[in-house]
Amino acid sequence: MGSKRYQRLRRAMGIVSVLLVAVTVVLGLWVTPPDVVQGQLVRLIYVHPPMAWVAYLAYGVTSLASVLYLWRRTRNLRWDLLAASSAEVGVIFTGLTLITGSIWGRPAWGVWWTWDARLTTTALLFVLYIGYLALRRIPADSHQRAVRSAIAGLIAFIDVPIVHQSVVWWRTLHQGATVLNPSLSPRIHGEMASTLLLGFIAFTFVYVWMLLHRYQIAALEQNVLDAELEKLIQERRNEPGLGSSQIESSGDANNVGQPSKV
Amino acid sequence: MVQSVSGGTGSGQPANSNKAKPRVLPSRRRARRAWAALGIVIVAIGFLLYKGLGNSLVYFRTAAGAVQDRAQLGNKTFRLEGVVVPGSIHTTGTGVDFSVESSNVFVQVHDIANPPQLFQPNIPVVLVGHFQQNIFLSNQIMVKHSASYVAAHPDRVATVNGKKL
Amino acid sequence: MNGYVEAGYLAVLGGLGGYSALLLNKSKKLKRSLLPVKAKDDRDESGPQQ
Repeated sequence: MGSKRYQRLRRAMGIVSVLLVAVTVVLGLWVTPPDVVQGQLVRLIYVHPPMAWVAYLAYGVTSLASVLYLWRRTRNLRWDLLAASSAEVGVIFTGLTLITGSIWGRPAWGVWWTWDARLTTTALLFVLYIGYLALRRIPADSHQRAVRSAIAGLIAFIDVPIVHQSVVWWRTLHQGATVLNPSLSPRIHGEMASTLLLGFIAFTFVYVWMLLHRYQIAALEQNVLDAELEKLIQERRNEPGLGSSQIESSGDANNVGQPSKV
Repeated sequence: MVQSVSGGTGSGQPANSNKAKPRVLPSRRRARRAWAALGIVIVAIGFLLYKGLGNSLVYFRTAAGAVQDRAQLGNKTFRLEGVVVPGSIHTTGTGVDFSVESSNVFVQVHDIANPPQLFQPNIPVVLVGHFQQNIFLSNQIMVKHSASYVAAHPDRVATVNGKKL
Repeated sequence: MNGYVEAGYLAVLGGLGGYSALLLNKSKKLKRSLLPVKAKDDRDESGPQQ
């Protein structure tokens, strides 16, 4: 943890992310042309879909890490911490997807919100992963928490393809996909398309940077917790008349016994 | 990307500060709060599923579909979708009158609300309202924007090989 | 521009910036709390530097 090389890589990632976002903002706000129908409103398109894409990506990472925890051969608490970290970043991006969508919807559609399938399933996605994070706060030992979170994370992920396909499967007010549409023919002009692509790349970099930081925090918190537990167990062991077997068989002690696995 | 957690700040090192010291055994209060938060989330999920099943599955009826089910719909409020017919828009004191079309079926609309910024001929709209005789009385117009983005000044835009789009 | 566009960009930059600041702050605090005891004691004994 915290090797110089790793820190340098993360710092470089942060600088590149800021630069890419800055270029996206400049292109999106000033350089790209207005849309023939939407006028200036089209500028929100350079940030709204990338937010949604990063949310999908983040939940994908959560699912992958959850599978790796559930699979006995790769089981390691670090996958659980990675899954949780990615889910939290995903929730931030889903929240921003909803906010930017709503801000665009008011002038374009005429409403801040409507209960169509795309909006409803996206709101559901947001709440499902908040639920995932809430579930993690329910007291449990590390392994129990990791297993139940992994299962919850995988169940919540079912909503991701539903969100993406909602505009195809149901009638919605929300438009269909511009780039990843069923015919795979992007319907967007060159300069606008390249700025949108840059937006996707820039916010993906931001996600990776955030994930690296969030994961480190989760790992450090786990270390603090382990250290505290170890100290507490030592104290209880030293208490007269208390057998060590009683302590080892209780709750979190199993995990604390193997701190290097965290 | 996944780094070792136990290196550097190994778990053998006791935390020396009172700051950021997590509680080892969660208090009952903390547990209660966590359960309450989860409860709220479950209620929110239930609410969204209810709204989703009630609204999203048949979010709108096309003008053609609505005319076909006219008798069944009666005075019921629903969402009607169609493309605004060019030349049919007349601004009234309270809103706008126009016609929408889908599959060559036309529906006359009397709207009593301000149309949104993008309301214009040839744009698909979703209207909230009900039929009164053969006129659809709408109290909300939502513009259904397409997924295509076209530069207002296409001459500025060039493709990779330099040709104008 | 038209108010909505600016609001959207502000929401994104504010949201991501705010969360980043939160992460950096939390990470800094945690790292400080995990400094080895000895290192702190040494620092205390050596008195103010410079």
